[in-house]
Amino acid sequence: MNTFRYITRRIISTVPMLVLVGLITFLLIHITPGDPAAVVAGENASLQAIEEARHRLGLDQPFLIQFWHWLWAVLHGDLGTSFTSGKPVTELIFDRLPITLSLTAGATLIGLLIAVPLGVFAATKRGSWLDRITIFGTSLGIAAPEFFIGLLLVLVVALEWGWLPATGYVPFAEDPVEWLARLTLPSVTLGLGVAAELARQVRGSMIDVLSRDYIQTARAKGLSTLSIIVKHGLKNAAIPVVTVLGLQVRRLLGGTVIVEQIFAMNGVGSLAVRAVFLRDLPVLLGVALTTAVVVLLVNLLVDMSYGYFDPKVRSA
Amino acid sequence: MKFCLVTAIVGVLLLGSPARAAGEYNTNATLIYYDAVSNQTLDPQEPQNNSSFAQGTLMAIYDALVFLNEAGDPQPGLAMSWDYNEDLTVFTMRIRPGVTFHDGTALDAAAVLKNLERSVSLGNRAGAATVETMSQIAAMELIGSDTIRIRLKSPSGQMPYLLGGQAGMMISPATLNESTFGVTIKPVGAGPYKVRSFESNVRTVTTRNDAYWGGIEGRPAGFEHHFVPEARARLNAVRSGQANLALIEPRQIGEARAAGFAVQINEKNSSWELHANFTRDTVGKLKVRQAIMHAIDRPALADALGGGASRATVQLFARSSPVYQEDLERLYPFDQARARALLAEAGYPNGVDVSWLLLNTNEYKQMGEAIQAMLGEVGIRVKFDVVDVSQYTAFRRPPQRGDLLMVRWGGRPDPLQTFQESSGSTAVPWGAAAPEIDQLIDQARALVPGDPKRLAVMHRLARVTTEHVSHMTLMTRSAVYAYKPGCVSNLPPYLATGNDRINDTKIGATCK
Repeated sequence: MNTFRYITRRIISTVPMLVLVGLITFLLIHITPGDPAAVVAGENASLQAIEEARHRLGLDQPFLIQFWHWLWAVLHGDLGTSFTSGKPVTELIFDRLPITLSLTAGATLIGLLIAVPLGVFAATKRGSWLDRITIFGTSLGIAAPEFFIGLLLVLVVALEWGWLPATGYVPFAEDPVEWLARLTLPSVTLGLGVAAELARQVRGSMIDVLSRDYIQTARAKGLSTLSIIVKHGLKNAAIPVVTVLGLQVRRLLGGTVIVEQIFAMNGVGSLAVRAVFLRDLPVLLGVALTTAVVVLLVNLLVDMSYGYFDPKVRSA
Repeated sequence: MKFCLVTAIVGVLLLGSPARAAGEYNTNATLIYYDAVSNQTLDPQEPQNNSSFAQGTLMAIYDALVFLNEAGDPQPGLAMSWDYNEDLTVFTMRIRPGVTFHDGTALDAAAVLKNLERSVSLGNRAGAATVETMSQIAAMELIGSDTIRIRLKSPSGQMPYLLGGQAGMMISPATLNESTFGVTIKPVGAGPYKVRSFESNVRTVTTRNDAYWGGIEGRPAGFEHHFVPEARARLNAVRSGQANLALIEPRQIGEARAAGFAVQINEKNSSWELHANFTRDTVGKLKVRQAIMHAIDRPALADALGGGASRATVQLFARSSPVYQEDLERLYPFDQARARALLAEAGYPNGVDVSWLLLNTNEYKQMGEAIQAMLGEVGIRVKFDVVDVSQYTAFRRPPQRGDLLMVRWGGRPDPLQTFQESSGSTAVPWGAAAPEIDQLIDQARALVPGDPKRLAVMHRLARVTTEHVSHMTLMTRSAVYAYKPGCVSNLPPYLATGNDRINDTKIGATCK
């Protein structure tokens, strides 16, 4: 019951934050140069046609009235209609969300698969040349921009070796094998950065945990190294790692904007880019709000996971 | 005197005879084309589809009443023939018999009437080309089941051209019953491909219309149009096999060829050009505009930025256009001394300051900076006013910003439309560069396609607009394609739109 109340309270507390996100996005779009009405009216439109489009879209109303209309609709579950395509924003986002979520999940998985063994290995062999290589490698991973890694992977793996496709996305339901093939390179592109950040965090946490008294006691009791790491080390080292993982989701969602362009994937990131160029206000607001909701939900999950990893937190 | 302009020609011949026998094409493969331009909706009358570069998919789905051939000349399309009355105020079309839309609905005069009535009712909500066409119509009536008569508000010989563009693209009336406009339109046409799925600004997937009135010989089983804004991703898609045809940027020509791919450069009625606001003291003077023309080293610009796909020019028409005139190219050679002298004659012996409304994309900025340096050498000091692409209207819309604006011109179905929109006082807010331009436009409007006098007037228009520097054309913009050698054919330059007729493209027999 306490957990339910906690979750409810947290969800309610996000509402003002989401309104603020909406207001700031609304403001930013309005102070950015550009005329959505001119875009909607099309190439070579007359001035009259542009003014008609402005009136039709409600862009001739005062800023706060426009914001209120948007907010009121959102409170009723309506993210509005795209200025340019005429489709409901919710539909546009939900059509593309599977691509971005597949990409984000793939990158997180790759990040974890690389980071956890690497971080644990480096922590247990602290100071060795393998540990130094890990530190160097993770520094490189953090520093390397996604567009560089992506282009390099396309050039070598897709174009030179021909092992994987260079572009596009195929839905899982259409062809699971092709889905995996098309998702691999972009996921690796995004996942390497996550792996580098996480590996450092895992290494640091594990070094801290492995120096604790209860680990020494476990060793003295004759438990194997593997057992000590898995049963006592990893779980206790998890809290800072999960915190960093939660922060990576925000980074991943931002990274998809670039990766989707490189790999010609039409996810939420490309939708946002296109909306910026077309000054498609409702789509931009919808994407910003959806992203904020995803980030806030992930933060909530991260906070709740602390209770699993540390009973003291749960009882508190 | 009633004169018939076009007689019936067998439709299949109009689409161009295939260069190779049908057996040499893979008719089971799907043509997957990665393009730099998207469609927000598949409604031909919607404003976003007014762009000359957004017609590729539409031409695959919808046939137009008039077919514009490779040179842009009107030929029978869904309308088998047409004629005008003597004073060009009544335009009568006979509709091709036996044609059906993808949903099986008959394409007859009533269907055409319904389409045109809908376009008229859209008013300013429609794209500019549709508005331009429909605003000329006073009334329409059916003469039997296969003939439609259109009464025009004033004499105009332009209708065959205008109805060869998106204004003449026919949608199934059954669809028009259910929907209204834009995204709600079901894309059911009478073209060679039927829509299977459509995602706005993402992709259009079609299958071959086996009942196509123009024949299906050699056509692929399907045509997919994918919008991929990133040029590198488009070329990569062809290289790694996700696409069999891609529109690439001129700078990628070397890379594509080095990777063993065929590169095709189609010169279009498309160019980079500068527009001047004639109400300004500086660029309002003809001699200042002529000085600008002489100060720009066009061949160097085309070599450096065109990547081998551009040609220096002062005209708005491709070399293959009947309106193109070779001698006009000699009017403004790169001559800095002449430019300085013209500036001095215009009253600016110490140079002149001009502002340039520059659109904020890499392509525009690269071109702008190169020209700024060239103009600076003769004393024309350019100051950029950089704006977002969506603010290009600020140049013409009060309060007008900038003395100069650079745009990419995409071509129009009718050469006269090109002059009307780029130089005529009905479209240019500060009026024509010379009174003769408007007079010539009026003369041409009163002439029908195919009349030799019309071409003569066009030639005169090209000369007058160039001599009066109505527009400052810099270099051509070609469509550049990459594909596996031997895998793509039947993709000649198409002058009526910014797009080529990708829908007529065929795939080699040994290719997937």
